[in-house]
Amino acid sequence: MTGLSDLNVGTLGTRLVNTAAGIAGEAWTNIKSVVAHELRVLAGRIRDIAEAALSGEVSKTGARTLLRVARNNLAATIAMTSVLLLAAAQKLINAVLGEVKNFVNGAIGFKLL
Amino acid sequence: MTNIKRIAVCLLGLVLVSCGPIRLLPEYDPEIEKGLNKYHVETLQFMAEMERTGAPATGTYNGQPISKYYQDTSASLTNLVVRAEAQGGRTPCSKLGNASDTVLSFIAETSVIDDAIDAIDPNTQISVNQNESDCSSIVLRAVLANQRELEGFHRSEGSLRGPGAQIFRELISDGVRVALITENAKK
Repeated sequence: MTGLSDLNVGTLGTRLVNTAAGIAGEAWTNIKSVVAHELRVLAGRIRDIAEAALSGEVSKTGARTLLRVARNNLAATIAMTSVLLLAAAQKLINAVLGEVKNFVNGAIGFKLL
Repeated sequence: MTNIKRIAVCLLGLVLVSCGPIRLLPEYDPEIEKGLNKYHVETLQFMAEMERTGAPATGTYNGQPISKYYQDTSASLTNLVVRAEAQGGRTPCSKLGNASDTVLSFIAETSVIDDAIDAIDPNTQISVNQNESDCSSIVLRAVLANQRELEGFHRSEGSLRGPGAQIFRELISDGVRVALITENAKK
């Protein structure tokens, strides 16, 4: 039977660190990959705009408009990164709190939390 | 740490755990995802038709003045921005400096964006929108701003044909994809 003696803070700490490291590592890898992809795409678009402007396929006014759109997308990508980071932090916090809940309920032997 | 402090920390932890999941972001809104998909399909169809006909901004589309298409899409996107703002994140995007730094460090590594911009206009600089809105709203505002730019582009270029229109179409799709990734991250 479990009891209060099972509430080992050291064990809980290790479990929390492992949970956090797993989620944070995976989330950060995903975020990096998504953001890097979007920035590479954006860089390619800006190169296309520059080439089209230099070759005269797009007017200078048109090229400036396209560049403004590319900059809107850059601002959106930065804002998206912030949301992805917050979403990862949210997942991390809730996973750690869930781990605490499981640990305490498991140690006590009934659903306290 | 004194025993009183330890107990206080434990109690705080228990209160947090018992309060249920913590939310740092506004709730996922399926209407925003649906609205973005609808806008994207409509715009791709519109641009394909403009490519085919070469109609000017003063022409017609689906039996209606083209200006009506621009008005309708702007109205729908404005509604999505308002929805996002109403659900509202409480943290202004400008306060989340770390993410901006992260993205800007990627850019610094590649430098290709600066090179390309310099090829057009050496005085152009990238500036990050320091808006007080939350980040989700800013992403949708970018999609709306792009749509408004499309009408101006249509007028200045005379039609939506050729390489410029193709780049514009891709940029619009990029903006919508970023907005969809942002909304889906809240699930």
